[in-house]
Formats: sequence, C-alpha cells, structure tokens
Amino acid sequence: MINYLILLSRQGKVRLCKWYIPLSQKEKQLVIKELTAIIPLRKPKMCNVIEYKDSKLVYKRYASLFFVASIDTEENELLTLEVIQRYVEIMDKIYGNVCELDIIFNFELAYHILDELIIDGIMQESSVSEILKRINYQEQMEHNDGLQT
Amino acid sequence: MAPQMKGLVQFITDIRNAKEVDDEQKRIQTELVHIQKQFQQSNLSGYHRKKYICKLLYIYLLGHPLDFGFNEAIELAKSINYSEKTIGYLALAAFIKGKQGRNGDETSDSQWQSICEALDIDFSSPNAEHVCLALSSVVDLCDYRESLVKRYETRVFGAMVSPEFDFTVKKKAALTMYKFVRVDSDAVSRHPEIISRAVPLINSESLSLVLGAIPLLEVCTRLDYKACEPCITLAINKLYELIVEKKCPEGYHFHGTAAPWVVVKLFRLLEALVPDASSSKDILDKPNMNRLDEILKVAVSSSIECSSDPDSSVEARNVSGSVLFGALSLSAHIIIEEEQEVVAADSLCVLLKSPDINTRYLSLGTLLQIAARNDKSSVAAIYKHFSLVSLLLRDRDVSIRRRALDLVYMVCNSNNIEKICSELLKYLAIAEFSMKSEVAVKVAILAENFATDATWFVVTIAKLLALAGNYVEDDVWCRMAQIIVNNDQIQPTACRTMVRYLKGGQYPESMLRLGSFVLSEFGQLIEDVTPLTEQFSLLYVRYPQSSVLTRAMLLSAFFKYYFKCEKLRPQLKKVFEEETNSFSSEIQQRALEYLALVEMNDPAVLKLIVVDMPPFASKVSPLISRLGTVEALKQTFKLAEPTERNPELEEQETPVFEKLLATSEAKLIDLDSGRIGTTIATGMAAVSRPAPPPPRNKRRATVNSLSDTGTLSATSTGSNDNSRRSSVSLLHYHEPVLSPTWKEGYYRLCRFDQGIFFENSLIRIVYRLKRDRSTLHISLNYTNKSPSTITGLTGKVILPKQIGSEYVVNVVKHPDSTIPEKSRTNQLLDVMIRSMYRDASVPIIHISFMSGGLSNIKLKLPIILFKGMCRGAPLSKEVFLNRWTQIVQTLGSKGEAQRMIKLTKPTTTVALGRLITLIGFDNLPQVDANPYNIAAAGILNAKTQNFGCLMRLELSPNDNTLVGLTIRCTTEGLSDIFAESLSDVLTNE
Repeated sequence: MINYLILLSRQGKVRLCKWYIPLSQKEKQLVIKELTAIIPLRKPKMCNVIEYKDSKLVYKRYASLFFVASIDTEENELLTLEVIQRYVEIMDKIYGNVCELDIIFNFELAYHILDELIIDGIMQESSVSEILKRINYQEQMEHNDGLQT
Repeated sequence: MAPQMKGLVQFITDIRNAKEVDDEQKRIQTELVHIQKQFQQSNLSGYHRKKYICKLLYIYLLGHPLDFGFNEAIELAKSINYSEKTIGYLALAAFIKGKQGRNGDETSDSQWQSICEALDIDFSSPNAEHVCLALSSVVDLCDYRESLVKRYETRVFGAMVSPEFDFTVKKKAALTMYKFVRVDSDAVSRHPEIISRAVPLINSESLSLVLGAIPLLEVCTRLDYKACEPCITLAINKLYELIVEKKCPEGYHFHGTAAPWVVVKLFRLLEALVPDASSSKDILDKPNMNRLDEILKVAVSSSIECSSDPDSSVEARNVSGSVLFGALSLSAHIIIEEEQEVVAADSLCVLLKSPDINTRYLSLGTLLQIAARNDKSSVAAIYKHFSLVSLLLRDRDVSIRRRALDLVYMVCNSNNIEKICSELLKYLAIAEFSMKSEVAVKVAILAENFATDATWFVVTIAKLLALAGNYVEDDVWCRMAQIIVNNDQIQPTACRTMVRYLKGGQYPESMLRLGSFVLSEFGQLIEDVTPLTEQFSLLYVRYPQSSVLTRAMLLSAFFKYYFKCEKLRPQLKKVFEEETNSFSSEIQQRALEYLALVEMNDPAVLKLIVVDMPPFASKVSPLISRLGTVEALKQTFKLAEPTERNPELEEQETPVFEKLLATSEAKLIDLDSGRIGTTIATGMAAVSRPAPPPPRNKRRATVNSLSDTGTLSATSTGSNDNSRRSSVSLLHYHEPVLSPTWKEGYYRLCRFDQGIFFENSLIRIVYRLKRDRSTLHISLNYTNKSPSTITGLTGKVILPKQIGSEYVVNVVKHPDSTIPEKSRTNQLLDVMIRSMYRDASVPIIHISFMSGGLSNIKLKLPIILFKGMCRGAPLSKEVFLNRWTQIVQTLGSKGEAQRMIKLTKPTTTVALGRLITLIGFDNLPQVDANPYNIAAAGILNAKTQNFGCLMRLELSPNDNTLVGLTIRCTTEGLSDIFAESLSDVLTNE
C-alpha cells in the first residue's frame, strides 16, 4: 500500500500531502524535511525508485512538481509510478492542462480527485473515465448547492 | 471547475507574494486571529465556514501547527450542503490527532461523539454520494479510534452487499472493510459472512469492484484460509479472461495492457492463497494449474514483447513491466519445477538490457530475490548472463550499480569464484570512491568463502589491497592476517607475495601493514630467497613516510626481526634509540619499551615475548557484518524458502580455510591467556583499530541476534501453520448443512445416471454420469435461468472427514465463473473408486454464486457404490445358484445381508426389475420362475479388485409395498453396504 503521497515543488515546498498511515505532526514534518533533502536532488536520468528506511519511495517529476509516494516493500513500484501517472492524467483533464499553480489555488479539488483514485493507500479505481464521471457529478452537486444558497 | 472562493484565492496569493519567511508568518498570524474571531460568531454561514476551513487547511499544508478549527470542521461535515460536507471531512482527516499528539491535545470523547453523529447521518443517507463520503472518512479516522470499527462494521458490510447501491459504493465499502479488518481483525469473527460475500466479488463484472475486493480477501486469507479458498478458482478464471481471452471492459486498458492493477493484485492474492511451492500441488488442482500456467506464460511473453519494444511509451513499458514482475514473482512462488525458475531468471536477464532505467533496476531486484533462494539451477541461470550483470556495474545510476554488485556477489560459488573476483577487481579499478569499499569487502568475503586454491586466495587479496588499499576497512587485511596465521601452507606464498608488492614500490599503506605483520611473523620461511635483511630494508624504506599507526606496527615488526636476525641488531637498536625522541607519544613509548627489552639482552625473556602467534578463533569473518542488505536479503529468503542444499555440493564448496580454521580450533590456546605471552601481538592488536579478531562477546552478540530474528520469524510462520491447521480441522468437524431440497436430485440420480440434479428460479444443474469401470466421469451442467448474469460461480467438492482413500475425486474442469443470461457452463469431475464405502461417505458439492444476492447450494453427490457396478456375462440358473451357495459356504453369514423393506408407494415386479437394471445389475428372469421374485447379478469394479454380487428380491404377493431383499457378495461387509443403500434408494422414491 501507499503510506503517503506528497507533492513537492522543485524548491522543496509542499503542495499537497495525504497520509495513509497514522503519524504525528512531528513525524510528518520530519518525513517532509528528509524528502525535500533527497528528492529534488535526484538527477533526471536516475531511476524513479529509492529505498528509504524500511519503505520505498517512488517519485516522478512533472514540470516543476515532484510527485512522491512512499510504498511498503510488497507494493509494485512500477504500478505505483503509474498510479501517479493516472493522477496527473486525471488532473490534466479536469483542470485542463494542469500546472503547479492550479494545484496550489485549487488544492481541495486535487484532494477530491486523489480521494476518488486512492482510498487508504490503495488504488480504488483505475478507469479514468469512471473518475471523471464522478468528479463531474460531484461538481454538479456542488453547483446545485450554490443555487440553493 | 467549481467557482473558487475569492477570499481563499486572495489569501493564497498574499502568501505567495510574501518575500520573507517573516512576512508569510505575519500574514498567517493575522489570518488565524481573524478566523478565530469569525468562528466565535454564532451566525456564521456555511459558505464562510467552508472558506475559513479551507484557509486553515492551506495553512496546515504549509506546515504550520493549528490549535483550533477541529470543531468547526465537524460542524461543516454535518452540513447538508455537499461541497461543505466534503471540505468538512477533508479537514477532519487532516486535523485529527491521535494518541501520539502532544499531551492533552488528543481529540476528545465529545468531539468523537460529534464526529460519529455526522457519520451516522451520512451512512443512513439515501444519497449514495453521502454514503461514499462517510465511507472514505471512516477509513481515515478509524486509525485513531478503534471503536469506530465496531460501531460501523454492520453498516459498511450492508453497503458492500446491498443491491441498492452501485459498484462505486460497494468498492468503497469493500476497501473500508479491508481497513476495518486490519484495524480490528475480530471484525471477521464477529461477521463471518464478510468473507463469503466478499469471495464472489472477485468475479464481479465491474473491474472497479474486483479491484476493491482483492485487498479485503488478501487480508481475510490470513484469518480464515478455508473460507477464502474458492477465491483460487475465481481469481484464476478472472485472470484467464483478462490475459488469455483478452476480455477487458472499455476504459480499463492502460497503455495497451488490460487492467494492470487488477492483474497484479490478483497475482498477489494467489501468492497469498498458495503459501509455498510445496503445497501448491495440493491446493491447485490440475485444471487450475494448467490454466494458471497458460496465464503466466501469456503474461510473461506479452510483457517481454512490450518491454523490449523500443517504440512503446514509458507508461506502456511500466505497466507491462509491472505485470511481468507480478507474474514472475507468482511463478517463482508456486511452481516447483526448476525449469520454470530458470525460465524466469532468463527472461529477467533479458530485461537487464532494457533501455528503461526502472526496468533494469527492478529486474535486478527480482533477480536478487531469486538468487537469494540459493538453488543451484537458478543461480546458474543467472550466472549465464554474467556479462550482462557485470555490464550493469558500469550503469549510470548508482542504485543500479549497487544492485548489480549485490547480484554478482550472490551468484558466486566455488566454480566461478576466480572469474567473478577478477571481474570485480577490474571493476574496482574504475569504481567511484563510494563503491570501492563495498566492492573490496565483497571480494574479500567471496575469496575467503569460495577459494579452492590457497595461492590464488593470497594473490587475490594482495591484489585487492594493492588496488583499493586506501579505501578498504582495516578488517580486510586483518582478516587476511588471521587466515595466514591459521594456515601453515600458505605462509610462504603470502611472504613471497608481500615481498613482490613491497619491491614494486607503489602500494597503499594497508599493504605495508599486512606486509610488516606477515614478514615479521613468517619471514624466516623465505629466508633462502629473500634474506631477512632484505625484507627489513623493504619495510624500513617506507618507515619515515608512514602514519603513526603504521609506524607503530613497523616498530613491532622490527622488534621481531631483532629477535630473529642477529645481523640486523645494531641497526635496529639505532632505530629504537632514534625513535625514543619521536614526536608521537605512541611511537616514543614503544621505542622506549622495545629499547629497554633489547638492552636487557636476556634471550629467555625475548623468546617468551616473541612466541608464535596463536591461531585465531573467529570462524565468522567480521566482514560479514559489513555486507548490509545482501545478507539481510539472504536471511529473509532463506527462512522463507528453506532449500535443501546438496550435501555433496556443500562438501565441495567448503572452502579450504574454513576447514583449517575448524581443525586449528583443537590446538587453540585460549585467546585471552595467549595474549599475556605475546606482548607483540597484543601491542599490535591495541594499535590497529579495529583489532583482529574483534571482541568475542560482541561477535557472539551479532551472531545471536541474527539467529534470534531467525527463530522469531520461524515461530511466527509456525503459528501461522497452526492457525491454518486448526481452521482446516474446524471445517472437517463442521459437517456442511445441506440445502433443504437436496434429496430430490440425489435420489433421482441414485437411480438414473443422468437428470436434473438441482433447479430453482435462478439456476438449473443437470448431472450426467458415465461409468468407466472403476472410474466415474461426472459432468455438471449449470444453466443460468435468472434474468441477469450469474457471477462468482464455484463448485467445490467437500470430502467427508471419515473418508480416507476409499475414493478419489479429481476436478477435470471448473465451471466458468460467469454465466451470461440463458447460457450455461459445465464442470467435469472424475471419481475413482478404490474400495468400499457407505452412502453416508459420499462427497458434498458446495455451489456458490452471485445472482442478485449470494446463493449457496450444498448437495450430496450421488456417487453411491452402486455406480461402480457393471453387468457381467449373463449367468445361467445353475451358475447363479452354484455361486449363491458358494458365497455362504466360504464367507458364512458375513457374505450375506437380508432386509425387509417397507416402501412408501406400491410397486410391481417389473418396476423393481427396471430399477435393479438401472443401478447396474443384470436382471436374470431365467433364474427364478416365481413372478414376484427377481434374481440379479453384477460386478463391482474397484481400482484394486473386483467383487461379485448376487441379489434376490421378493415382492410380497399380499402387500405390494413390502420387499424382501437378500444380497450375497464375494467379500465381507459389501452386502451390508449394498442392502442399506438399496433400501435407502427404494424407500426414497
């Protein structure tokens, strides 16, 4: 399973983080600090998997953002990489050519999409169209909320 | 996209515009104060509350701690407005604090109460989206409060199986249940139906639901193996559909691969269901094994095709690679044939050439796992590709170089040691600084473990020191010194090698240290070639440029030369005298002490001090502890997969030195007392850090801790086995309850060999039996009568506990898991009758499927012993009567059984005669002329032996429901069984 997913900017700023294992605020900050010291320094030609403590880090860079997922030793690395890819593909479709700023200003939407893709560190839906359908439906619901109030 | 909140956008912009950390801090502080003030207002609108919570979320995301807002987040989650609700739950998950929070900061009981109120409302909401929110939220929260599991397990289970919800809710519920089971595994024992309802989900039409159900089943496999066993067939069928038949719904293809996530997870589920290779033959029956074999072959070949296709995209290569690794891992797990393992190793080695860096990295990882099992053939298979692996030692990525090095280390044995070491030494020359020490340690250990030729060993280690002396730990040359001390026959070679290197001039200091020790200890052995004086000058020439540590060692060496060579004495005395003025206190001290000893000029004392080095006792190389990951990997895999090593091979592989170390133990002087005698040796040990050999206790501690972890995991697997065994026995004691309508089909098919076995509004099962001497071929034909597709169909044969080897049931073909509307599928079974058994011992077939709800049908298979009967050659009256009396003459009353059978319906002799023929007897009207009597004969074919059976039936002329039965058989006990069986069939019309 995925332990946590963190979106880091090239400067090491957190743009999004979702924790699937219970950690205290202190431990979370420590992880983030260590990741910002490792990930942005990786060279483009290096492989996307690093062993980190007793877990594995799978990361991929998209433009200015690093998507970093920590997975347990049993999880398949390549598939995790493709979970990240799916996440980006879906955001791209919903935001329309997604960029770092979109995620910053609309972070709650990025969370919603993530929650439809992953639950409890486990991929819950692999069909892009299914997720798009759901996000659109939810937006419709939110829109209706707006009309009511 | 939804309209954005202006205040939030402004706030984020402000923060982004902040130039200094202080500015950002200030902006956040003002905002926090503002929000806190706003929250105190009683008439705050939902929209505003949402906006402020969003701001708090953003602040939290930036890494600032929050002291308030949790109650407002709960409030927001209770809103009827969907967008407010989602933000509320999002904030709850982010802000929740567990026991590990700061003191007094834990989420309070009243807050939990409030959270539960929100969840209660949403769980009972008719709106599926609200239920979804509650499900994802409870997953995030239950880590922090276990009691949520008990509170919501029934509701979550309800959502998982309810026909009202679509697959979106169901899959979320299944994943929530997975989380629940992990948090509190008692959930399954409280609701055993969780497993039985989850099993058929594997075969659901919606791949999303399949994906959601797999993790739950995987965890349940560990809790109740037997209940999850039907998953094997279902999972194999689903994989067959996806991989071999290539049936995958639109939208689930990912860069050309069908549902990679589902496939990989199903592979893993199967790994969990088949604990290890040794049990795979028992767990996977033939048809399943064949199908799985086909699945894996297709998966591997198509993945390799895609991975090695230069035109495919990175994503395509990644997903096909992940399927490949999943398939290889599964096949390595279940398949016992060594060939398969070799095929797996071969295909992985092909991937080492892949242009994709991740593929190379992961292939190496899987190869390491295979190599760690340490079975001969797969290691040999990897070694075939040695040139490829050694090429990866020069890969661009350091993590790949590391793994390649580990793999080279793992495939080394006494046959290839020389080649591997020479390759590694070549690599050592070009390896970057950080790798040199790792390479050196590995070469040293390999050389020690597998060396077959002592000279080669000495030469190799010397070469290693010459190449990497400055990068290797002192352990390496210390270990070498120990081995030389313990092995008389290599001492001269070692001395000669040292001289050669010292003469060469260019050598690192560690070489000088080893040289000083070896030559001063054993230099006299090569005196005839290189006189002691020459040896001394070789050492002395580098003395002034050496470090303090080396000089200290050299001084000790010189002292030994003083003892050994009179010619050198004046020169050596001068050296000691000079060094008494050394800047280094260590050197000064030594020089003073040695000088004092020299000036005493007492040969007895000198001799006492410079005794021979006693043999070293440490059989375990201290270098092992520096191996790191490789050794850990080996440990884990060896425990998981204990491979019997060929003792012959072991013998052959035992390195020369190990044996010698073992034998020298006998003459070993206790090391501690030995030290008193050898000041020199202690002196050296004290100076050279870390001292050879390392403190005994410490070493023992590491060895112990290793074996501790060993036993730990061993016991844990042991207890697993126990739990599994107990669950097995539980099932056996627990006779399955038959479906209420079982009798109709059972007795019909006791009489006839084909007909309707079971029928209800959803399904019809037609049974056909073909007798083939002792083997019964059974076909069960399932027809879907329901208005929808049947999914998750399994037909599992359960043997009663009292059955031993009386008969054997083999599944020839499993039914398809899915039957579309109005279609059918069939299941084929072979039963082989080996000896006699009673009707009560026939197996039960458990048929389970989903059609709307879950259906479980349990029926007795009508394979009563009569089904093994065949008609012999027609008997004449004389022969019949002759045998009839013969049986009683030989067996007495044990050969005969008699019954009076009271039928429920009137019958006729003709009807009885027809029945007798149907069950397999030959009706012999010529034997008995009485129209109310029937005589019949038949042969029972068992695997080992055939038995003859004769029967007389007498219908009472006055009461056409009363039948007298006499059976005589050629073996004891059989007539009883037949009499009982026939009266059972006759009375259950």
